[in-house]
Amino acid sequence: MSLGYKMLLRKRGTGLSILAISLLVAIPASMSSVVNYINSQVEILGGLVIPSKTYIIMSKNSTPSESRVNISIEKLRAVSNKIFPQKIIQANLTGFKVRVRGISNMSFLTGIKGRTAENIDEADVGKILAKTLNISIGENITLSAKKALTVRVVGIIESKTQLDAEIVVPLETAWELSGDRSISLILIEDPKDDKIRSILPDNLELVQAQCIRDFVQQTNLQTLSFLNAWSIAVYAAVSAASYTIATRLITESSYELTMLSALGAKKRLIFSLILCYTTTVALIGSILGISLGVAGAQIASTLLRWAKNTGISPFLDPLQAFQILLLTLFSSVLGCIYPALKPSGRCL
Amino acid sequence: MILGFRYLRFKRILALFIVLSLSSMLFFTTALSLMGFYRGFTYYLGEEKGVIVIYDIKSRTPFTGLVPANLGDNLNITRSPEVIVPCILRNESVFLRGVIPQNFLRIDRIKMEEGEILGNDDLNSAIVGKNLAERLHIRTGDKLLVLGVLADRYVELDVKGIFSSSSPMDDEIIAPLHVGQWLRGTDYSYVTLIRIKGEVNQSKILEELGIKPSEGKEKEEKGLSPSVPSSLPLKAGEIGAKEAYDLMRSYMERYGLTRESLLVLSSTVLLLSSISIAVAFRTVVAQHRDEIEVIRSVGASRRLLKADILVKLLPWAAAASLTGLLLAVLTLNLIQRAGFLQVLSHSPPISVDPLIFLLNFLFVLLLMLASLRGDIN
Repeated sequence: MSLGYKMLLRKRGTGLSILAISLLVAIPASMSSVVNYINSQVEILGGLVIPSKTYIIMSKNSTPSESRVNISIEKLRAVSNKIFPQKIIQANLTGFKVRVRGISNMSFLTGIKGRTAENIDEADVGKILAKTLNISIGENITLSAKKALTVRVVGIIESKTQLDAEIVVPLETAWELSGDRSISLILIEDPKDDKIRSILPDNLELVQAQCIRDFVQQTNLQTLSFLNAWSIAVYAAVSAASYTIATRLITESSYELTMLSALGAKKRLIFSLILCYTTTVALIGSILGISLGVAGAQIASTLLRWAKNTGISPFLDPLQAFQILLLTLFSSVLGCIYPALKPSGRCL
Repeated sequence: MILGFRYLRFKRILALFIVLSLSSMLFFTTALSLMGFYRGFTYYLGEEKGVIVIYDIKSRTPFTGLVPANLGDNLNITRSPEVIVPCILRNESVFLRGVIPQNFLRIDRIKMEEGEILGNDDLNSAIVGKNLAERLHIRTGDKLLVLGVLADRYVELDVKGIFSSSSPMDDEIIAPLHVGQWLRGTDYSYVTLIRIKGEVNQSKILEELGIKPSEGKEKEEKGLSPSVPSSLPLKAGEIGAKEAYDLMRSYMERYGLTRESLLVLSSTVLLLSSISIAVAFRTVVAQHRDEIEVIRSVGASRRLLKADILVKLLPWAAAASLTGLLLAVLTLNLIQRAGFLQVLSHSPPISVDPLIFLLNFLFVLLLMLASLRGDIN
């Protein structure tokens, strides 16, 4: 076996076969190393933005107006003192569908022209809604949901948030309009994040309003997913290359293989020899290819730095290198099985 | 045929055909996706000619600039102020485009697949692009919780309809302008960019806006960088106007991404698989060694033999290129359907460019010539 194996490895085309595999492997290795660098830079940039700590507690897989939150406010006070329970409902205002938001503590509202609503008969209107419906301070408006209620507009809000397109009232007013005393969501600022999750019941979730980290992770994941899917084409080419390598080996070694079978080598031995040869070529080729790919990408980036003064530093994770190695071996073995089975049958 | 003998066996050529097809597939998969990304990005702000964009020169991406929303308000031309903002929807990264519906629809044509078009009085509503709706299972009447990325904001929107536009917008949410401004965390007097459509050119627009093109940086940016009047809260040289295609191309060029560089990158992939093609060719020659020797012994010269093999393999090379192209298109469509083909939450359009096919065929032909020369000698 070992003599036959050495004999095949010493064939003239072995070097070219290793080169063929290594150049193919260099493609995903270099691409992955460049993508790794880009993703790491995106993550660093994303990390520079410190998201503010505004969270909302709401029902799982829900939206604010559909959510129902049932949790003790006192429990939440242990994690933050800036807690604002809110009730969101849809109401009709002279045939126009409006969002009404009931807030427990109106004092947190800023950017108000006029003043904040203080009792059940008063409301503040968002600037954009007020402009659309021509509502001004001092005007009486009738809101109808489950119940109808006439309120006086005491302020116009300009907060640069969704409040600007809503009617904001004290929580009691929203409860009166909707006919139920439930809470849609709880807005929390600066909570002790590690504690708050532990006190939430299973049906509720904590949502951070600003999700820069999630966005960065998602966009990086998209690139990696595409790279992985695209690699299928590379490994298909590796498989085909392996097929031709095995075919060439059999054609060029037909004399040696026939002699081996004449000396009593069994079908399985010849099959194993071809399989071992292809695996060795693939193993050496993939190690060379990974090195070549990363080095090539680094050389290209150095040239880019010299030419444009904007270089990159491509790198490959050990896990990725191992993954490339395994996939190359697998696709190579897959490619050589058919030609390896054929001569073993023909020789014996 | 130069020689009348049919000495090349189909079964033996098959290996070469498979390698050529798969190498071509690798090249086409790379080239079509990269060119699709380039095309999708350069036509991001409109495919039609004559759309001019007023933008923030200092912005490094088309999503991060800010210009005064009232620029060109006094001009008698179609203008669409827009805020393009990244956000998170149902745990996925998406882009939301805040627009004034009436103005936006004068520049872009969209078809409502279901529901209704966004009106100027829809304050808390949005319409969703067909691809995004399919990907996130969004239907008309649904409520969406959109979370901010650039600002500490969240918005709840009612889905008024699903639209298709055959453009990158099919992966976006279109909402009223103020929604975009909330999520961008900006004042109501600022937008990301303003698109203008009409029988005017850049210099005319800047002139009408009362902005004189400044020197120095203008040459560097290859666009018109104006000196802004003192009434605008921007410094001189911060606003530019360019054709939509030119603007997006300039953003790409800042990162060294040109059509040519992407084609070169794709060709590198083919170049790296060239040794596999050479090995496959050598295998075919080795398998036909006996036949070649017989033909040589009856008087055929090397040159005649090479020419004959080349002519006989030419249709195979063309067929392999075509098969590679078909396989690549099929693979990319499958990848796209599975949701793996996305760049910045947009699916690049896959379209076949004859130039790419020609490039592949010529490359394969050259490789065959080179291999033939070495192997027959």
